[in-house]
Amino acid sequence: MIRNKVMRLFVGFALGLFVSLGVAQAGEAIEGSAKADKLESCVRDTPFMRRNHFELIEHQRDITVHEGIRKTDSSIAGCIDCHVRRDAEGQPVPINAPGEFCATCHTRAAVTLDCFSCHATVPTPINPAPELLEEVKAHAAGMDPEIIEKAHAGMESGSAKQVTGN
Amino acid sequence: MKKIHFREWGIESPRYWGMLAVLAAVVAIAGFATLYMEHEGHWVTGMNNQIVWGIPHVFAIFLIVAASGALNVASIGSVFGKKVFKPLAPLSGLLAMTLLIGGLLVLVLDLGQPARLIVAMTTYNFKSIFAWNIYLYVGFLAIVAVYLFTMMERKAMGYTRSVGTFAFVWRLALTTGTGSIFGFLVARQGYDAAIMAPMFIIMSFAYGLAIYLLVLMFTFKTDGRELGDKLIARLKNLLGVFVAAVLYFTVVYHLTNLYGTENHAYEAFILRDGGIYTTLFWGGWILAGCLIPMGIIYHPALGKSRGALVAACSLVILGGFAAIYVIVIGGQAFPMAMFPDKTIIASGFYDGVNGDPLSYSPSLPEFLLGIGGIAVALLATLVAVRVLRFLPESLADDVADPHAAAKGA
Amino acid sequence: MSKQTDQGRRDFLSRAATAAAATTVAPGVFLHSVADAAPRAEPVTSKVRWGMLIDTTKCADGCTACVEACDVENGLDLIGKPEGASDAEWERQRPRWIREVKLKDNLTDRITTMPMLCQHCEFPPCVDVCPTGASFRRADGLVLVDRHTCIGCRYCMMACPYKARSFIHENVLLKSTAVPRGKGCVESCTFCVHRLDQGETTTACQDACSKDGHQAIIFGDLKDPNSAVSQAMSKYPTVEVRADLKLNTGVRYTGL
Ligand code: HEC
Ligand code: HEC
Ligand code: HEC
Repeated sequence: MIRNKVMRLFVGFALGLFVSLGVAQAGEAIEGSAKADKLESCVRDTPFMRRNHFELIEHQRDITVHEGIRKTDSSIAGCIDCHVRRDAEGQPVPINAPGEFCATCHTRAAVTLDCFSCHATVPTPINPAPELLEEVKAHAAGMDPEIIEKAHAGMESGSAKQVTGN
Repeated sequence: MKKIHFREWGIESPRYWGMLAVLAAVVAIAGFATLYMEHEGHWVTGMNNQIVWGIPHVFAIFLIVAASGALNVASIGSVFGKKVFKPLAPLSGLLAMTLLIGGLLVLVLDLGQPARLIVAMTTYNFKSIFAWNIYLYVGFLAIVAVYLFTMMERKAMGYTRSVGTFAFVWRLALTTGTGSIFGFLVARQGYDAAIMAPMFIIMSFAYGLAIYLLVLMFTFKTDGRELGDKLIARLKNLLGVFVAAVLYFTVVYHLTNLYGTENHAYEAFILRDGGIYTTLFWGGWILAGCLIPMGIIYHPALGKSRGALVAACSLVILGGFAAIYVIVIGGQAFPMAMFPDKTIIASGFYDGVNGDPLSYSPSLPEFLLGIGGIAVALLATLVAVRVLRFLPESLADDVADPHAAAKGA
Repeated sequence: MSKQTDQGRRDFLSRAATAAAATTVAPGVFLHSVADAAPRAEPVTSKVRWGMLIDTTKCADGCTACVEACDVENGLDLIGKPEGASDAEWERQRPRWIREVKLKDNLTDRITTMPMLCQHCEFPPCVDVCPTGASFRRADGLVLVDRHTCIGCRYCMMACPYKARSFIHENVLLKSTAVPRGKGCVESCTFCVHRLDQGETTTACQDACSKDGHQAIIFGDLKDPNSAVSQAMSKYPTVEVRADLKLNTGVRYTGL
């Protein structure tokens, strides 16, 4: 039930775009709603993170994919889980939506990431509930490519334009 | 012997710019088609999880194979010391480069992740023939560029022969590499043949020379330059030999396949039951690509006509496309023999149920991408001959080959 | 509402949390056969080779439990048909990691049904041909695609004798944390690597098959003589599909 709820939020979020309410439909993220906001420090000290966070995740990426190491504090799933903010409804706001954690600096620094063309931008359950899948499929079947594109554009960090999936 | 002068291609500006504009428009359309495919993903193409390489690969492989073949004329001149061919060499080197660039562009733009090209250039798996090909292609461009320099720069002319020899060896390696892309696919009946690599080499000779001849005749005619009959006859006979060799290798390839029982089903598919692939094999590869051109070339009357030669060259090129289509797509459409002695009667993933071929219906954007590759090659060629001295002022027989001219007279 | 969500997220993360606790209990101790979940802390080694035995005599005609379970586990059903794509074409372009095939023996007419999936070869042709090394074989025998270096050339798909790989032909809108995927890369069965790396020892297809009471799929460590899969393999004659290619597959079949 609870898991369904999360899935519904997640699906609802994605489909919110479909009913063309835009990313903002997830609601304004609430200041201080991320786990990280209640914590003292990041997985490394803050200056280090500012300068080297990408090396950290990229290293993690390689050792997870090639060596199977999952016991770590620097997985990309972990960054998202701790840093993602929530709206008034408690829905997670995509980590790369404009103004959100992984987007703000990158927009400023004109860095474009392709990570989120594959990686989920909100924490999702490991197995979506089957009932919800029907709903997803029903919607996905009618998913207009343009909407998909808009969704990606909205989710892509920063305003810098990039073709999704690269 | 008269000194041969080279001069920029001098057709009137409006005509020249008109040609460029047409080519640029084709390139632009292809560019939009590519962006569309990139943006939507490959679902807008006819390619699928069964036919994974489609029309773009047919165009790309044709252009790459033809590129190495286009260098032959230069090689004959500088490596084998045939004087008559020397003035023909710069255009030959130029076409080798532009055709390769066109082909590579198509190949790269069809990737699922073209933006990761940098990954392909920096991370290698040295076991992969594909990775070796990246070196072979880039190296080829560099060597041919140096080769061209030695031909066109007086001070470097002493090196033409050694650089030319190196380029010749390299081009053999390049075509072997391209052919081996298929030769290494042991899982697929149609490709697992040692003859694949030499067959690609001989195909490259024919296709490269056919394109060379067309470009030579076109640029000379439009610019009012003279092209001697003796010279054309030599090139024409060379083309005849190459086309005959393609035919010979094709026959050997299929005969050796027929010899081994395990390939009978594949042979029956290509030669008899394959629908479009069978049609393209007999009508395109064999008839249009080999028999008719040979008929024209060796015909006592037609063989002397320039128009007929243009037709023969065009047919060799069309036949070449048909051949590559049959190899690339036909080889995939024929279902892999996963279970010998068994028939797949149902499958959740298109395994060639009851031996049925897998289906592929190419879409427009794929074609446009491929045609764009050709347009890029031609565009680059026309720009280069206009700004640099690639074309001899005259190739009249008494200029190009005074010996032969004298003998004939 | 927000409380519920938090709970839900805890549910989502519970696996990782228990796992973390388990590892702290015995730091540095690593046994590949432990059943209790713990995220992997040490690099995988070749002391383990994951493999699968499929008993075709137990595989039921018309049953697609393994296929459906795989689709759900790996988010394959989150991918929608793009607007404007024809149904027939879409079926050829959508990804599949496991599929049912039905065979008829040419001599005896005997019918066999069985699932086909990536055979996790010891000498995988896909790995040999991959220009960037994105296709790789992990030390514990999994044949995977590093989708951070895959350029989408599809040469591996040309090389695979089992047609086990799929290309992602469209933009992926709905994504799952556990199994990321995106347009323009090739992928195939991972033996549910996200489970294995959390210390679990079953795959989704195997679980589904058991749940339906068929037990046609046994998964486990081929190098552990006591594992269920090794035991079963020592008892029955097994075959490799396309044994002639000598790829030493990690997936074997009985009754074929
Ligand atoms: C357990 C929670 C947690 C996790 C997991 C986590 N972070 Fe942090 N992160 C924090 C906290 C808390 C801060 C704020 C520290 C401070 O205020 O000095 C922070 C700060 C940062 C900063 C500096 C922000 C700034 O404004 O200067 C960056 C960059 C960062 N994190 C990136 C990451 C990345 C990348 C990952 C994944 C590898 C990650 N974090 C994982 C909790 C977390
Ligand atoms: C084409 C799809 C794709 C893109 C783009 C992509 N990834 Fe991944 N990533 C994956 C897949 C697939 C996995 C394997 C997941 C697994 O096995 O759990 C993965 C795993 C990871 C992991 C280890 C798992 C985890 O949760 O930590 C990290 C770290 C990671 N990716 C980081 C990145 C970063 C950083 C980027 C952007 C620079 C990126 N990825 C872009 C597909 C992608
Ligand atoms: C404090 C600002 C800041 C925050 C917050 C931040 N980044 Fe970055 N990030 C940067 C900057 C600046 C760069 C460019 C660094 C460079 O190129 O030297 C960068 C680069 C990257 C890169 C490498 C990009 C490339 O093209 O190589 C990745 C991956 C990345 N960030 C991931 C993340 C993720 C994931 C998050 C959210 C969890 C995040 N970043 C949050 C500032 C930030």
